Amino acid sequence: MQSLQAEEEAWKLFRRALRKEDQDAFDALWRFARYHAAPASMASRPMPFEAALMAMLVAIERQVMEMERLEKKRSEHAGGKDGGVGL
Amino acid sequence: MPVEKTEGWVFDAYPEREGMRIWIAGRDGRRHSVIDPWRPAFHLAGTTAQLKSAARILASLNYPTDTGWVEKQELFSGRMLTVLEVRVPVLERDALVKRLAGLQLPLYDADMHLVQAYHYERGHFPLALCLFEIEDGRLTAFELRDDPWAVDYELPVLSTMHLALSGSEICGRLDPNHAVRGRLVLTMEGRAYELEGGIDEQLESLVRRLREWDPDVITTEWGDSVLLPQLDQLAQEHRVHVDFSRDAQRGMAGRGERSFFTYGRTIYQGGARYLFGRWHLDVKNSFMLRETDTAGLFEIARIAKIPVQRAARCTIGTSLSSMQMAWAWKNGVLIPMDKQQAEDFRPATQLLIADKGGLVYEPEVGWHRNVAEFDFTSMYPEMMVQRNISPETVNCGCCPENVVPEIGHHLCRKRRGLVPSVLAPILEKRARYKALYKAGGSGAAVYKARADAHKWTLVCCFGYLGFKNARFGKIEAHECVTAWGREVLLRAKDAVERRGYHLLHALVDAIWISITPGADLEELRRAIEKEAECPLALEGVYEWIRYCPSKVDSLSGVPGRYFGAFKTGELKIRGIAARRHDTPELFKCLQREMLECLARVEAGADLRRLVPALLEIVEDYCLRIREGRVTGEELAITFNLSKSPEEYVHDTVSSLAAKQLAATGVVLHPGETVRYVITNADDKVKDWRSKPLALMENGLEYDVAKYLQLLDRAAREILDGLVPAPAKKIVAPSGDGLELPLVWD
Repeated sequence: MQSLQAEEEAWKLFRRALRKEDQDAFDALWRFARYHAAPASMASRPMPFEAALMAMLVAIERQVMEMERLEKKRSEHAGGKDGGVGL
Repeated sequence: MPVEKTEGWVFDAYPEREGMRIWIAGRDGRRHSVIDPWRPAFHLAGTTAQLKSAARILASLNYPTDTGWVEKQELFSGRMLTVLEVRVPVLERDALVKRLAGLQLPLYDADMHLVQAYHYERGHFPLALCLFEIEDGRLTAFELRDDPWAVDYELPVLSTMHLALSGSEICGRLDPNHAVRGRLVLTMEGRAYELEGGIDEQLESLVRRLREWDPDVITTEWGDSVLLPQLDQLAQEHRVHVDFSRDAQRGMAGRGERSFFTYGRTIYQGGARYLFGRWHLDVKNSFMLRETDTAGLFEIARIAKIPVQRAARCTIGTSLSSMQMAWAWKNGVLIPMDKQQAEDFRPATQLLIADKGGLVYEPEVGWHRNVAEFDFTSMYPEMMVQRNISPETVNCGCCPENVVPEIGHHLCRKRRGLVPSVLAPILEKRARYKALYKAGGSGAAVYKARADAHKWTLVCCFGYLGFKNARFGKIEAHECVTAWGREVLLRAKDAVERRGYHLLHALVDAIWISITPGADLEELRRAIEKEAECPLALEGVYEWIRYCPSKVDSLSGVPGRYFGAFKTGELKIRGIAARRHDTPELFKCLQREMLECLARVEAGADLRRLVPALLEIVEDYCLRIREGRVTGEELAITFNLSKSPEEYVHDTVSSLAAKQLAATGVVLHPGETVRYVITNADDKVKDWRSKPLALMENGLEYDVAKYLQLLDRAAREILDGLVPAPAKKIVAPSGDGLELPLVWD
C-alpha cells in the first residue's frame, strides 16, 4: 500500500498536465490499482509500478467484460427493458 | 524455635540483603513477612583467557559466591554448552554483572528482573497458593498447592483502600496535572471519608487510617504521577511520617515517567510508585486494569510470574518475554543478556517478497444486505504454534524441505520452538475461558476478563517476534507468520469462491461474504476451516453493513472503516467518528443513536424508509447546539500530543489549546492528551479560538457555527448513500458551511 501511494505520487506532474476529463480517467486507473492492492502485493515485483499496471489492466478488462455482458443481455431482450447492474 | 506451617498466597516479594522478603497472605487472614535466603544465579561462557579474568574478579569479592560448571542449552544452535554458574547475594548481582560485562564475555540469565528470576527458580508465582513452613522469620520450605494453568483458582480476600482527591466536580474526570486540586478522600469497604482540616491534619488522619485499616491494596487515580509523589513531598515538608508501605523499613520506590512511540501514536506513561508489603495500583496508569480489571491483571501476574504492582504497569511485551524466560529457565535454555541475534544477510529481492504484512482486499463501497463475517481465531499465534515458528526454528540446519509458502524460509520439524511452547498453553487456556464465559453463569465476567488478558498477550506476541529489542525476536520468524497468514487467507478466498459466494472484503484474518438468507453457514465455515487449516469462527450475519468511502476518493473503499447491524440487532462499528478517540462525545452519541435506529430495521425492509427518523435525530442535536443544551464535556475534542506544546509551529485550535494549558504552568509531555472546546474558530485573538476544558471556569462558550458544521459531517458519515447524492445539506449552519477536517493537525 505504501509503495503504491509513493508510485501514484510520482505521477503527480503527469496528472497535472492532463485535461480535466483525462484526469478523471487517470484517477480511475489508480483507483483500480488500489482496489487490487492485495494481488499486487502478492506479486512482489521489484518495480511496484509493474504490479500497479497489471492491476489497472485487469480492472479495465473486467469493465469490458461487464459491458459486453450487459450488451448481450440488452440484445437478448431487444426492445425490452434496460438490464442495469444490480447493486 | 518451632516450625510454623501456614497456608496462604504469595502476596509480595522483593530483594533484601539476606535474600528475598516475601509477604504471605494467609488463608486465616493474617499477613506474614518472611525471608527466603535465596541467591540468584547467572551463567558465563567465553575463552579461557576471559574466564581467567572473570575468576580473578570473583576471587576479589568481599562476599561469598558459589561457582560450578553446568550444562545448559544454547537457544539458537540447540547445542549443549558447559557454562560457569555463579550464585551471589541478591543485592550484589547487578553490580557484579556490570563488572563482568566489561570483559566482553557471553553472559546468560544475568539481567532478569530479580523477583521474576526468583519465581522462575522456585517454581511459584505471584498469588500462588502454597503451604509455607516458617521458622524464626525464615522460610524453610514450601509446597505449591496451585497451578498457573488452572482455569479456576482461589484467590486471597484482600482489603482495598481507595485514595482520591475531592473538592471539585471535575474530580476523577480530569487529569489533576491539568486542573485544580481538592481534599483527600479515603474509601474503605464502600464508605467514603473526606479528610478535614489543613494539610498536616489531613496527613495525620491518613497515618491513623492506614494504621487502623492496614489495607492490602491502595488504589488511586493518578497516584503514580501526582497523588503519591505529592503526598510524599507534603509529608516531608510537614514532618509527618506516613507509612504507605507495610514494610516500615521501606518507603516508596519510584520509576520515572516516559513518552514513547508505538503503533503510530505517542504514548505517555506516568511514573510509578511501588509499595512494599502492600500494593499501589493506579487505575489511570494501568493498561491491564483498564482493559481487564483485577481478574485479568491477576491472571497475567500468575502466568507471567510478574509481581502484581509491576504487572499492572508493564507492557504486554514485558509479560510475554517473562513467560518466555520462565520457559527457558525451566528447560535449561540459556537466556541471552539482550538481543544478540542479527538479521541474516539476504539479497534485496528476497526482502521485497518477505517484507509484507497481512493481505487486505479493499471493501466494495456501499450498503450491503445479508453479509456473513468469519474470523480466523488468533490467526498469528495459531500459525506460530501449528507451524512451529520461533526465532530458533527458522532456517534451521536440518529441515530445508519444510518451506514456508511464498518467501522461501524453512522451519524446523525436529525441535519444538520456544515461542510455540509458550503460546500453546495460552491459546488453550483462552479457548477454555471463552467457552466458559459464553456458557454464562455467575463467573462469566471473571472468565471474560481473564480471556481478554490472554487476548492482549496473543495480539502482542506477533509484533514481539519482529521487535528489534525483543530478547527472543527474529525478523525472519515474523515474516514466516505473515506469509502463513496470507496463505490461509488465500485458501479461504478460494474455498469461498469455489462454492459460488462473493468475497466483499478481507482484512488479514477476517472475511466478509455476500450470502443468500438461509445459506448453510456452518457447512461453509467447516469447509473454509478445513481448507485453510486454521480455526474459523462465524462472527455474525449482518442484516446490513455499510463500507464507507475514502475521504479522498469517494469511489474507493477504506479497509476497516465500516458499520453494520447483525441480525441480532447488535451493532459493529469500526473506523468512523463514533470510534475515534478525538471525536466530541456529542457526535459519538449522535452517530450511535442514528445507528441504533437503523439497527431496528425489519429483515429485508428498505433502509431508506428510516431516513425521516434519522433526520429527526439530527435535528434534535442541531437544536441542542443552537439552544445551548450541551456541556463542555460533550463538546470537548481530545487532542493527543505528539510533541511538547511549544514545538507546534502551526497554530491550530488544538495546538493553541495545548499552549494555553502549558502557559498556566502545566507540564505536558508528548503522548498526553488535552481536551478542549472550540470557542471561536476564526477569532483574531488566537487564545480565544479554543479553550482547554481544565481552564473552563465561568460558563461554557462555544462556536455554534463550527459545531453545527461538525454535526453535519458526523451525520453525513451515516446518511451517505441513503439520502440521494450529492447529499443536501442536512444541517444548515448560519453562513456557508465549509468542509473542515475533523482533526486539526
